[in-house]
Amino acid sequence: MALKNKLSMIVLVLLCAGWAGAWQNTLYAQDDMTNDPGYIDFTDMESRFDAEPNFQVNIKGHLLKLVAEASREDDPEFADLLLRLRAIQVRSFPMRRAQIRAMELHSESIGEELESGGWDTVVRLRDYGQYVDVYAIENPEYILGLMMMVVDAEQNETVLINIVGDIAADELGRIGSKFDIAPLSNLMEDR
Amino acid sequence: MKTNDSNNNKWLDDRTEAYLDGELSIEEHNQFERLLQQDNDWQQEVSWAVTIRDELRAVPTPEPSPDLRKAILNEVRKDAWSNFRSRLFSGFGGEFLRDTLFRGAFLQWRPVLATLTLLVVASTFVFVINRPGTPTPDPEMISQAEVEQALAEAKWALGYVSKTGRLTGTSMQDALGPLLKEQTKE
Repeated sequence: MALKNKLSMIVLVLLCAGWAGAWQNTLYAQDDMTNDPGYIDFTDMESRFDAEPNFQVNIKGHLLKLVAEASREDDPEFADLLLRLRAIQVRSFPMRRAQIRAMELHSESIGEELESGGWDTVVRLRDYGQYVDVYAIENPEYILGLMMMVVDAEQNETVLINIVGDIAADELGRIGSKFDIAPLSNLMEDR
Repeated sequence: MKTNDSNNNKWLDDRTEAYLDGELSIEEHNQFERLLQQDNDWQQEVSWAVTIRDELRAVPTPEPSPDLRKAILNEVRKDAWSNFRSRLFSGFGGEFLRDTLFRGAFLQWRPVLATLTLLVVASTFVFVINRPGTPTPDPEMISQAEVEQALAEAKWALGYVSKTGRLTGTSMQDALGPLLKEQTKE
């Protein structure tokens, strides 16, 4: 085979490899949720905290559908709510009381980034020992995502919650109020 | 009269084969038999034709040798492939594509095409077998215990959001209400 043809062959193989990589990335992108406007990539936020998250929840895709169906018999309203969601993410970081100022700065910085990304601040509470921020992003028809950030000095924890999907706020509050909120430590023990 | 005979002869001659094969219409068949009854010479002709047809049918069909059969099938395949190519390329680029792809360039680029095919197959295999950090496992891979655990966590997360909303002195509905009203107005 002539040199020219060999070079052409190498170029073609490289192009094909690039195409295969791009194809895989496209498929992964379809599977992950990074393009969903209501989704927040917590890996970026985790780097701001000194510690690893001591509790995390990632419910999405097939798992979320199975959870919805599992709850249908006991609570059909809750099942319907879950089916309209695309992801539920939770991260909890341990925190010492002395860190509360640093956490406040973190939360403000995160809030600014969210606001610049099109999120609206819907709740901002600054109380002694507790900071609560709630952000929402919406399109003309629905709220697409909710982000809650709670810095709780009494519980020595910072909790981030991201709910992705078509969220009806009244439904979320009403249905959520039915559930008994055990301390996070109980959930961690169950694992 | 002579002219009539000549016309009848031609008419009968044109239709003898069809008569023997049973392909004449009813009217022609009846007319053929009527003329036949009036003409002994033609009765003899038709009788010979029937004998020849039957003799030919009685001759056994010769079996081709395996080599001949193979050669014929090869020719048929080549012919079919050639027709297929013509039809294909008449729709997708015409003569130029056919000439470049199938005459010279195909042989030259065959290793490249083989490599590309291999690469596509390999990448598909790798993708299916080794999906790094797949966030959503297949439903069959999720155990009942995992579903129950996730259900408890989902309830906890929604309950936490609701409770925190209430503790902040407002409900999530109150907090998000203005947003929803604005959307409704728009």
